[in-house]
Amino acid sequence: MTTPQPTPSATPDPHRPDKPDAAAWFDAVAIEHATIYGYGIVSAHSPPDANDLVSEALSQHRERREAALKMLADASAKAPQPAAGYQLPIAVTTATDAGNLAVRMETDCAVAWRAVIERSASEQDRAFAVTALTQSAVLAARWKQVLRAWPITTSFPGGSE
Amino acid sequence: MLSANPSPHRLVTRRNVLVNGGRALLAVSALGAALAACGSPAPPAPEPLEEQLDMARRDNELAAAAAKAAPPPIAPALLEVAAERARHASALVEEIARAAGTPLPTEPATSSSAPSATPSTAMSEPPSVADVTRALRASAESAARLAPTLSGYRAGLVGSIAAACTASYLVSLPPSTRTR
Repeated sequence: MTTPQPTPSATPDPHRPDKPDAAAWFDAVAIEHATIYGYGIVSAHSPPDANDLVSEALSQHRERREAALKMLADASAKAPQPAAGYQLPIAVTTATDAGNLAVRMETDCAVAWRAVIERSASEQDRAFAVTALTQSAVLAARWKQVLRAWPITTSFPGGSE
Repeated sequence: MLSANPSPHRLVTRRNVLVNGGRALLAVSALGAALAACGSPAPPAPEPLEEQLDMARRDNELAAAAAKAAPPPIAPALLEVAAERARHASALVEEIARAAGTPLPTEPATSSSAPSATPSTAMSEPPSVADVTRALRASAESAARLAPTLSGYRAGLVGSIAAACTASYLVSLPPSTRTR
């Protein structure tokens, strides 16, 4: 994941709330920040025929982050700030590296949003997270298709079943 | 065991015996069945995951049958769909049993993908890729509607199933993207 630390949950952010549902939202938005940063790197190393996928993914993540930030603000809940910089989990120098980074970011997003589904108390929040999880699963599959990986889908996106 | 609270079952039974001995026999046997089933006097609430399980089993059979008739380029994707829906069925069976407090059933969650019996698709025409896509889309929408109404682990499980079915029908099965 493109976070200052190997995993977002290991990030000792003093603003991260203690309540499980608020913490899950905080983590998910932090991952969206990191993913938006990471897609800049993906974009820089992707071939032209992946342009549409890069811009579609980036705009999905941007829209979701803005919507999530608004939901947190409306609920007077804490939201994470984007980091000044992120350490990439893999060195990205080729188009394949870029695709692998995208798959990894979408997989991490799926995990974060599934945690929101499981911990949120409101149906509206869970519905938002189901959409986010689904979109990340679809993007991960599309990136694996670009990479010619197989299989391109997983049985339980965001889950460990 | 000693207990300060008299069992509600015994109260009901005793009253039934006093009021109407004949009916009490029925009440006692019904109570015995209820106790054997779940150990609780309240009737069990309907299990919302049952419908998801039915859909997972149907999709598994449909995709497996379609794979047999499909041209080689699309067959692996259909087999992958069948395998994923079989895993969904197993996870749902497990969660339904856990919630009910019953042991896991011994039969498999889905029919094996052996080429012999495909009961729901035993017609002349094998199912097409479009049939599988339609079924997956309906399953994805059903799971996406249900997941937010659930909570905890089962909400996450059904959310993941919605995501998996959507990725399959949007990305794995359409021919335009598959041949890229």
